[in-house]
Amino acid sequence: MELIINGEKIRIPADESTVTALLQHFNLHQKVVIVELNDEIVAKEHLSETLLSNGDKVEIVHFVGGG
Amino acid sequence: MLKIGSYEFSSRLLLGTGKYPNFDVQKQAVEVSETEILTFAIRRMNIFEATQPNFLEKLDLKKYTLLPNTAGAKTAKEAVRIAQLAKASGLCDMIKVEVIGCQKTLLPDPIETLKAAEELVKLGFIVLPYTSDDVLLARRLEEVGCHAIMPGASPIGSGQGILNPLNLRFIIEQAKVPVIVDAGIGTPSDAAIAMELGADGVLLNTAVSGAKDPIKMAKAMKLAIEAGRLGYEAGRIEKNDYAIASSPVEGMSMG
Repeated sequence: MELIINGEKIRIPADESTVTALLQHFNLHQKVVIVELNDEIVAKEHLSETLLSNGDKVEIVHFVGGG
Repeated sequence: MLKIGSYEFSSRLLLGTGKYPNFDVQKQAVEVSETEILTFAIRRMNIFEATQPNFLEKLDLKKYTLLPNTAGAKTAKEAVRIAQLAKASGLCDMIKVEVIGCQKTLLPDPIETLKAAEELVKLGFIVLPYTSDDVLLARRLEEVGCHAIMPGASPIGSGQGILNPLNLRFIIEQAKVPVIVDAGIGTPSDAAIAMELGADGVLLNTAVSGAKDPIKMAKAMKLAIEAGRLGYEAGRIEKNDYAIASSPVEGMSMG
């Protein structure tokens, strides 16, 4: 399926159907990340049960250095 | 003790985490600064670089309170969104409201800052707005429930020090919440002056990260902030136009 991740169209295997699976696909599941799906924040405890569908807009953000 | 909302800190130095030459220097600078509050920004991740190191991962998070900022926001709505993203990490509930209104001066947009601060207080955040040194705006921010007020000394990263000590003093005098001088500090003496004016803390980043030796500067800032605070608590002498002798004027053995 095709998702829009951080503003870019990205094709991922169709079986990566949850947010957790998506994070695992990019090897980000151990990282401190925050995910927004179609403009709604996905709470940490719901990452593994939140399903993705074709065309979904996903934002994956994290903490970076700043003042 | 510096009390912000439900938090208590022994250090009055809040340190930014941007623009250090490398993580090793940064880690040492953070350690010698003895800060307990570190600021961060929230940004999109490069999902194709999972192995890229991140400073947050190098920290013992039990030792530090995270103060994410809303930098990048130009409106209250954007600031609230960034704050919510930060809180969703489960790592923090403090937020530095930063709504920039002008890219050249990086001065905050007062109206959007106030709106964002009010909304975030309602949403249960511990709210620390970065603001200009406008005295009335500082009062309004306090009235909407901000937990600290963070007026800038001079433009972000400019290193110009305290341009309007009178306004800062007015803000400090009227405030019932901590006042943290944020932005524009260049030297340890700038930080000491902020503390001597009665500020409850100083937030700085570039002054340390951009110094030739960030680790040494971190130490200098820590000491300056402590010295300035002690000086404030001790109470300075009155200024006089003419000299007042320190030695007794009586009992001299001449004439």
